Amino acid sequence: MSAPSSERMLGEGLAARAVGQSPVDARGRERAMERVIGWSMLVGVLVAGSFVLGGGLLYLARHATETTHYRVFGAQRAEFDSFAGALGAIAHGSRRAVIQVGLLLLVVLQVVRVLLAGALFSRQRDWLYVVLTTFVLGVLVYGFVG
Amino acid sequence: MTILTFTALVFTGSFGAGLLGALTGLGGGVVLVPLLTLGFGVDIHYAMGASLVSVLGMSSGATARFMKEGLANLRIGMFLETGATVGAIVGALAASHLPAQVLAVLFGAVLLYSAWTSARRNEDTDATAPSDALAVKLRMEGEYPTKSGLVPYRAYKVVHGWVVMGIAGVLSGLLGIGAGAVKVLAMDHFMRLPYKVSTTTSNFIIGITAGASAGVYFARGYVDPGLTMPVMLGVLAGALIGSRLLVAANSRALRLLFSAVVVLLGVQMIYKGFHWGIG
Repeated sequence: MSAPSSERMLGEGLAARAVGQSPVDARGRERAMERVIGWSMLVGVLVAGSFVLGGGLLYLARHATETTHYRVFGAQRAEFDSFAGALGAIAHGSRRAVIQVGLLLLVVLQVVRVLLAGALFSRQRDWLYVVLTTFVLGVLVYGFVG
Repeated sequence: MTILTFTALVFTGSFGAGLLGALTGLGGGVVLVPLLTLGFGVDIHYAMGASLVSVLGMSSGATARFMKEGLANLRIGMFLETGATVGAIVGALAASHLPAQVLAVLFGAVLLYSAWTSARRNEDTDATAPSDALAVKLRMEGEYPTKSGLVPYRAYKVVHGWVVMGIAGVLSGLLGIGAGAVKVLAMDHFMRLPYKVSTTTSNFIIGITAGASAGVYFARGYVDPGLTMPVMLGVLAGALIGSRLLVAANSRALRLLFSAVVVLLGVQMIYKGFHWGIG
């Protein structure tokens, strides 16, 4: 196919992407939303990392001289599998549960990322991608609670 | 070994993996599991749990860093995730039914494949032909910033990319890794996206894929907080520092060296899987 025709097709693709808004406007809004996603991830990683680091230091302060047990797999207590369980374990003085809350927050952060991407698509009235994002969100939530 | 010594050694090892992974673009996650199983004698299920959670942290950290540059294509990413997340849950559910030996051999094969793609990575292909009709319909074309301004790009073989990403998702859930090398195959090789677009888009979605199987990993007790803590903190710190040094040190020699390490680990995983099994 000749070059002009491929250029035209690409132009149409970009125009279609903007769905009813001027391309510059749509691009600007998209970039602003992408920055929001970036910032949320930064804050999320810092918060989750703080729990992991803080819990880790507390854990080491109490258990540093004990021996490790990772050579043989024995599924750990079920109380660490959910937020409610981990928070309950913290209330009972478990320092490892503080770490686990940070690790669970990292999973929540992926859900937040998908939600924000969905918000970006819905602001652009890009319903096809709102549907696709909702599907991915459903799979994520199913994986976590199903 | 006491918990303090173990934690310090695992942190150091994970830091090195994250640093080298970022410097070479190969990702640190792929060497974490062999490092923990072969190096520290950790059961492969615990190693997979620690690795998978670290992937969540690294993907989030990388997204925080790259999002402001406008390189990632969220549409392509979200489209591919419809297959990859389903694959990830299937993989995670299958992982508990497979013996550790099979996982080790499979893991070795993925390591060898990763080293191979890294060693032969070439420049962007010339993509002047019009995009596939489906890619246009899905509004996948975009522009990305370069030194000479915004450059438009196209997308091809959407279905191939989607299928390969589904396979990447299965491997991610099965082995607790990001499967970055397979994602490169989908987006660089089949969809022919510019290298920077595919890398940043991959960073954006790797965590979402891993997030889908994380629930199964937590529920099965694969995620041990005491072990995951130094792994996640170490690899994240290493990757953050490595990505800042990236421009200065992205030499071919370093990449070949790291590929050689990955090959050695891959062969060892396969050997162990066939002979004694791990864990």
